[in-house]
Amino acid sequence: MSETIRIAELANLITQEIGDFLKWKIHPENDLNFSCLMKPHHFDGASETDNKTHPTDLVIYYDDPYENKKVYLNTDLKSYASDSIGYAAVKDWLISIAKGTVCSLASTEWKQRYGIEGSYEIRGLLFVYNHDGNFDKPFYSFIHDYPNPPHIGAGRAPKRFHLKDLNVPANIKLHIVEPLLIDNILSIKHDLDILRNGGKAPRSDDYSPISFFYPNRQRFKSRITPKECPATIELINGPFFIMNYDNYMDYKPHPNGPKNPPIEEHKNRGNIIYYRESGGTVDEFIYLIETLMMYELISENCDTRIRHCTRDKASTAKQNFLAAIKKYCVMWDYSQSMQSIFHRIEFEEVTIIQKVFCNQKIDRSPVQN
Amino acid sequence: MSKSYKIPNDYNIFSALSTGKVSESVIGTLFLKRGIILGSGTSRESKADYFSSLMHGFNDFEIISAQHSKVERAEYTSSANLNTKLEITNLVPIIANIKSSLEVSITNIQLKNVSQNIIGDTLSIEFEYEKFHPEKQLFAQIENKKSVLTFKKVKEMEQFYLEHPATPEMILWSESVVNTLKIQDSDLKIDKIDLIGLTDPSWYWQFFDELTSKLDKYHRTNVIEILFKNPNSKNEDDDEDTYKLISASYRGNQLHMSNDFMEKLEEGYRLYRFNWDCLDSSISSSDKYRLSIKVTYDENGKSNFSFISKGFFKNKDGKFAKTLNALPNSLDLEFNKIVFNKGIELLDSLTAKPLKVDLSIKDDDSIKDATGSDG
Repeated sequence: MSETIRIAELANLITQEIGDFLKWKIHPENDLNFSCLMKPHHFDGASETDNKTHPTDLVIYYDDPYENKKVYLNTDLKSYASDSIGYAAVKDWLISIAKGTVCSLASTEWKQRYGIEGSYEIRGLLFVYNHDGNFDKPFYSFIHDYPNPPHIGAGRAPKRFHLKDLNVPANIKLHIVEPLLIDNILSIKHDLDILRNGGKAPRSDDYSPISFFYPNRQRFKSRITPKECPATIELINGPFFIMNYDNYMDYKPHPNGPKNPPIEEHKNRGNIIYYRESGGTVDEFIYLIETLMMYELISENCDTRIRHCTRDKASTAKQNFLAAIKKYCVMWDYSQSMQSIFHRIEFEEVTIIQKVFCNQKIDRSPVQN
Repeated sequence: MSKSYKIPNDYNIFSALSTGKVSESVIGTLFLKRGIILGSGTSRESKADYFSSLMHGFNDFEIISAQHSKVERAEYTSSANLNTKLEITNLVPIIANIKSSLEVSITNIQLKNVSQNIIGDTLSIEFEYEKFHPEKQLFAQIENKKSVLTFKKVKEMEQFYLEHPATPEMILWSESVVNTLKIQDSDLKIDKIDLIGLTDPSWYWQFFDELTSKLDKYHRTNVIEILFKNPNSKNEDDDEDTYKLISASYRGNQLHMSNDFMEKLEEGYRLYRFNWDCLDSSISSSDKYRLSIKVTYDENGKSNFSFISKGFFKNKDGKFAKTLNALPNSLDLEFNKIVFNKGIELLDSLTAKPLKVDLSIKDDDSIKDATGSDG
């Protein structure tokens, strides 16, 4: 029998490895079932009097910066070897989390257990962790509605299901955090540590906190301070996200040795953009630059670093970025000094790492007293 | 990408997704790419609101823009005969450098590329350009267009038959091409259907009546709509200053013979559009073809005559289907040529001799429309 891990232990690992970085809160209650409120509807052949339950492995929650409410993610945790993550399993997992989330909306038991009050929204989250680190295919290749590339080569096309087959009721939101996204988040966290250690970003929050950036928009304004903003699940799964920090004072070791006081160095405020699109065209980067300009992020005395962080990087991404900078400066007929601001924008690749923080499948057997 | 290029803000995204132009499946894909699955009964407004709150990238922009520009309207075609000693082999080197003699920036239009292709006796010049529509919502503002000017060599004659979409930019660029060719052949002459010579309202009536009543074997059965425009109106798409005669008001086939028709012409209005149906008289169970002529006038009063075949209604056991089907390309081209040749011929005869026109309204029972009025 293979090594197993209890959900409580995996929850702790997720908190340490991902939750703290994203400013997510994870409720201490985990691996608990709650009564199904629609038994005949949710379980084949079940009657209202049957004892049927839905599992909640974990509840993740945070304040949504743009919505005046807390978002609670009723999470189903999966830790599987790559060959166990397949079409039928993914479909069943999604159907299960959809049913559980519908019941959680009406369940007093669930709401009392997780202290749900005030303004809130409950959503479902399927969190699929691949514990052998070998899962490298697009998770969404199991879903018909995803723009998958056409099947080529020998062999049968992979089996796929339609989203409508999941029967997700209106106004229910389900999120998926899948193995490649987990790799992406861990790579970004690792990259940020590299920037911090290299003096390219504040070495810790004591120097200057690094915040997730939520621009004020026409229809949405951030209702909490930048320091309080978590990375929402939509933000980390979007085409890019921005982290920024204020001016700060850095300290370098004195060249005459540690007996001398460290040398103070003024550091500019800065933006770090984690970019997840392919970078295959110049236009794509002009769009990004224009977006950063719209948010007034590119300016003098501000360091902007674009960190290209995706598995599907175009080989010409950096050249396209440099061409876009050149084209943008010509387009707006920028002066030499304005051009120098744009030429200072750094563009670097982030190495995608596969950090295996848990190498066991989940043990769902009852806890022995 | 031009300087006019703008990125959408959240409000633009909300507006773009709120319309039916972006399909439900595409909205589903936009969410799925972010690992989000929404319940199938979730309202479009909720989806648009939610998606607009997210960070948007170039890929989102491309997907939504493609949805907004997916319906391409068929364009009217203008034709001309170009009488010249030049051959295709003479045209090719001239066209190779034609872009330098064209106006590349017209109001809200940027010409990007001009290329040529030869198939048999036809030289095609393709104009690739970007059209900016400031009045439209952001995702539909940039329209990438390709339009073709064709030179078809007329056999055993020193003549080309020219066709191009009747858009203002293609009218301008086609004229510039012809003017460039004139430098090589000073005897070059162009024949177009120019209605400006029809100074008498009755000539207008006669021109459109004769042109549409018998187009070769295609005989008119019903006049569907006639639209007049005030020539002083600046905006081509403005509905103000237009006057419409529709077949619901009159017996269709005599619509253009009504008093209103003459009155509007006498008031200074100009005919803008003439839509009619016809049947192929050479066969007993002909499908019904819907054809349309459009006449526009530039700021100098110069007219441009253009034509489009809207499609056909299938004849099923003597009754016509209600849906309009697209014509095969070959028949489309045939109609263009027939209308142009007959138009030129009529114009020559009308402007060459004085007219005596009988304007009395009469019953025309020669051809009965099988379905009656379409109004």
